[in-house]
Amino acid sequence: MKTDEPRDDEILGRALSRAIETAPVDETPYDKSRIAMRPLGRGTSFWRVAALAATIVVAGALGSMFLDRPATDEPVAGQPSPTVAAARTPAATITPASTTSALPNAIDHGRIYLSRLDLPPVAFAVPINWPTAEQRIAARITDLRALRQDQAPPGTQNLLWNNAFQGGVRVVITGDLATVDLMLETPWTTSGSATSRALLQQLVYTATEEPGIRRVLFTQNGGARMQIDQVVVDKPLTREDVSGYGLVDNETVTEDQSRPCAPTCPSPVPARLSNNYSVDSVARGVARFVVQVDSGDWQTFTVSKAGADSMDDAKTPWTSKYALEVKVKGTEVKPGLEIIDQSPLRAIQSVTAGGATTYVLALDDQRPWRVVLLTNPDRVVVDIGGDPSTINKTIAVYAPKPGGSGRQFTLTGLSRTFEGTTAWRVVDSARRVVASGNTTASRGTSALWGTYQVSVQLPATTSGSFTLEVYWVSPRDGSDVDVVQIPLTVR
Amino acid sequence: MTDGWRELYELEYPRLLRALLAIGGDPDAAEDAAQEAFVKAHKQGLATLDRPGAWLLVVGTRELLRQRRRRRVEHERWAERRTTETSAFDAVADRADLLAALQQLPERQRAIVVARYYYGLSYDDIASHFEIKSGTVGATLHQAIEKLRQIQIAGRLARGAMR
Repeated sequence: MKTDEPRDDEILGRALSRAIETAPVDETPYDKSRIAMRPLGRGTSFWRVAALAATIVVAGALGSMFLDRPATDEPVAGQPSPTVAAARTPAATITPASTTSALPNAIDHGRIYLSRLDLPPVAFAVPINWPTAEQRIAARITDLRALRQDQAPPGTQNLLWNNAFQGGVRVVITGDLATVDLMLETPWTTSGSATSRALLQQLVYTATEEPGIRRVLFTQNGGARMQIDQVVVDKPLTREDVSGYGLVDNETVTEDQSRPCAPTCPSPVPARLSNNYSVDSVARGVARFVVQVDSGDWQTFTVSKAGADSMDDAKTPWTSKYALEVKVKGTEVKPGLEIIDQSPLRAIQSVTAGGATTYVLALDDQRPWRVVLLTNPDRVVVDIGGDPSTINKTIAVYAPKPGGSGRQFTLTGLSRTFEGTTAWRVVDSARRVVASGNTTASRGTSALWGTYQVSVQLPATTSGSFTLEVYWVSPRDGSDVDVVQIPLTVR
Repeated sequence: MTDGWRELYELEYPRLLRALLAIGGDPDAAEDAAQEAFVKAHKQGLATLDRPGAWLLVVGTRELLRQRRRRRVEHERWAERRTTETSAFDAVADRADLLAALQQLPERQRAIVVARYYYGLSYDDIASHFEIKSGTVGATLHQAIEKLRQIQIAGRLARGAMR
């Protein structure tokens, strides 16, 4: 215990500093401060009288508040010094605004975001109990700063840890924009642009966790541009700006199985549907939602962006910043709302009406998604997200993962390439092809994606660093289209 | 009112309020002392303040302690808050503990701890502003932090025992 006292003192001192910074306070804006209300002339009598008058008025209006307060040894009006602040609600009596004991019909916004470097950040639960949105945002960021790396779940990093800014967090909200100023004693320390961007992701996702806040402008040291190593923040950012996926289209995918038949069609048997989901099990960063047709004829389904209300977390307490809608003909066996809260899937709501079921998937942000129709039994599969470096508009590689090793591996994923033909090759650092092949996915060019799976065995003589490339060949000019590159190591 | 005052207020008031709340433990008293410190600064004039942040902290602290001597009202507010925050996330509980623990130190030590760790003032600054010998700042801080550590460990053990 005695070995490193000055450093231990420093750590406790910093912890104390954070504690002070996050304590809930009611700040008096400048225009209501005593110096702003002070007459330009001399003397203190005016504001003292004004403050006393204000105290009496507010005390009259909020008399019951005083009854809740601990007894003092003198009458409330006996001092000329109390101000409007004296009538404020003590923080301890405020009902928590959002807590871990969330209502079953709301997602829990007590979340901060940890980095996964090459994937979008993931949420980590913390209790956030402050009464105002500004305080909650400041508290989330301060909690993020305080979360030690050894408290972070495996596979996640807190890049703010050891990046202790001491002076505090100030938050101003205008509409859907939060302006967050951090007082930095020393510049941010990150190692390279990837970690700088990942740190910014953590900050942006954490600040925009607050319902109604879609954009955040980070500044430092009283309004200066924030600089994280080489990354300069010069404008408000949304989650989509930093997620790593780039622009995502608002696609609509529809499939209609009803066919013309003569003279009359047999009446379809109404479908019975069930649903399930998984996060991070299909591939890293992929959330999978499945509607299974347990019996009957599903006829049609549509996957599209959900209505505006489902993307407004200030209005709809079980949603986040984005939502997808999956509509399938049929009756869901267990309709209702399920709160998930696993990044990026926050909740699933299903409602059956008029013979069709609408599933709304509440998501943390708009990220690419893919629809696959699997058969036997029929399943509508929606895969959301994934490692941004392994997916594009027509090819998604789920395995092997970047940085993988081994001479033998299974190449698998989704594609919607010309005639379903998906090509792959493994090249060495001099771009010599070590192995290559073609595979046909279960679907070709369409709104729906097909699945593919190939076993790859590299020659026994290969070792070192390689790149697996998955792509398709343009029928027009023979060029490689939508190449996904995955670095591999073979020992 | 000139813009200089607005800027100073917006820059310094939030942390002054928090510092005074940490030192005194009473939100209303902290607000009153913070406002009073600004009024005193205003009377002095902006130009005469060399380092307004530290100046405001010292004057605000003095105001807070003077007021307290007058009123002598001790509330266990941090302790109240702590009971509302039961969580597996130790950082939050620790923070509440720390603020409660701070209240158990002598008033003057609280102010010096806050000046050092929240305001980041140097030993020399603390010595000159709070009118104490610069040689005793380090020892006082170490003593205060050691006491905080003991109180915090005791709190953590108590919490652990309840789980």
